[in-house]
Formats: sequence, C-alpha cells, structure tokens
Amino acid sequence: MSDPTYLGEFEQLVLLAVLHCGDDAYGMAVRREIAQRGGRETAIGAVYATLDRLETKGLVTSEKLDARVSAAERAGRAKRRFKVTATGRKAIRRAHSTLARMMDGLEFGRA
Amino acid sequence: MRPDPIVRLVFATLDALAPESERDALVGDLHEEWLSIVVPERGEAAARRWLVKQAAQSIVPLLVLRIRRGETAALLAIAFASFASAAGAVAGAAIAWRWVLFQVPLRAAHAPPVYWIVGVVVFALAASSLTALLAAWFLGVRRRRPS
Repeated sequence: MSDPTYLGEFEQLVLLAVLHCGDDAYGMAVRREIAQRGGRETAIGAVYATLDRLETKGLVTSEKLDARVSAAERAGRAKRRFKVTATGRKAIRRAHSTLARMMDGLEFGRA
Repeated sequence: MRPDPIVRLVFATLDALAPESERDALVGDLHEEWLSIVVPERGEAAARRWLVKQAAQSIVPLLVLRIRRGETAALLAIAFASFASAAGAVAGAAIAWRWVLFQVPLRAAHAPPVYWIVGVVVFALAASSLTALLAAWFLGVRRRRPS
C-alpha cells in the first residue's frame, strides 16, 4: 500500500499555498496564491478536490467560518479556512528533501 | 443588479455538482473572486469567460470528488434523466426520418450505416449534455430557493 503522506506535485503546490496564506487560507486565496507564485492557473474545483484529499490524509484541517461574517460579494456563503497539520508540514519537508537529493549532482543548462 | 443567465447557469451548475460539505465555500469563493477581483480587473465580458472556464474545468474534479465520497444519488438522477431524454429524442428523430424517407425516396436513404451511427451518437451526446446542464440548473435553482 502506498504511503498516505506521499505528495503529488499539485498536492505539494496546494500545501505550500495554504502555508503561504497563513490565517487567510481559504479556497480562493489558495487558488490565487498558486496562480501568482506558481504561475499556474487552476480551477477552484481542482483546488477543493485536492484539499479534500489532503484532509482525508490528515495533512490539513479545515473549519467553517460563521456565515454571518460572509460579505455580500460571497452571496451569503460561508467560508472554509484550511490549516496545515504537523503531519502535513513533515510531508512537505520530506517531499522537498527527496527532490533535493534527487537533484543533487545533476547539472542543468547544458545541452 | 441581477446577473445574466450565463452567470446564473454557471453558479447553479456548480451548486448542483459540488458535494454538500464543499458547496457553500466553493461557490462563495468563486463568487467573491469573480465579483470583487476579476470583474473590476478584466471587465464583464472577460470575467464571464473566466467564470465559464473555471466552471468547465471544475466539473471533472467535482464529479470525481463526489464519486470518491459515494455521493452519487444526484449524479445518477442526472445521468438517468440525460439517458432517458437522449434515448427518447433519438427514437423520435429516427421515426421522423423514416417517415420522411418513406415519403420522398432520397439517395441519403442508401448512405452507409456509419453515417447513421455517427449521426445518432452526435445527436445523443448533444441531447445528453443539454439535459444534464438543464438538470443541474434545475437542481441548483431548487436548492437555492429560500424556504
């Protein structure tokens, strides 16, 4: 069985975006963070599907914010805020160090 | 101001497709980004295109998410409605076309079967898509209607 903390590329992007967003990590902010920092336009549905998968793996948690704080531009819809768990932080560190080890000794820029 | 029909259809479609636990947050996020960021930055026409693209690209991930969670009742209802209407439409068209050919013996009557098959498949797909969209819109409208 595969390790549940193994992260695919898009899962890494979403986890890092949630970390960058801090206390303001809800779907729209995460999507915009990926677009601005990662240069990758993604669909909001893909972001939520990935966040759901990460939550199932125990790498993020979420809380629903009170509907009363929802502004008019949200058409009265509640917000859902995400937070990376300790396991999620460990998983992203591990993914990063694996990539660094794999890149070690390779030279780029040559034909 | 009341949003135009395409915008309403997009939100209603996402309303119908998103799992219940994600629905409010997802649709609210998209509504907020569209209204407070994309419309002022790009103008209404470009913002509408952006919204349609967001919804179109969200369909498959949301369907996968629902299937993964086992929330398939609404999807089965939409699929059944699509299939039933497509089958009815195809049967009706076939009967009507038979009648036309019976009245006027066209050369097209002797067209190879592949044309018939392609025609029927294209027609069925178009009818299914239209019905699925209408069903999604209808479910979305019903869900959003205040009680």
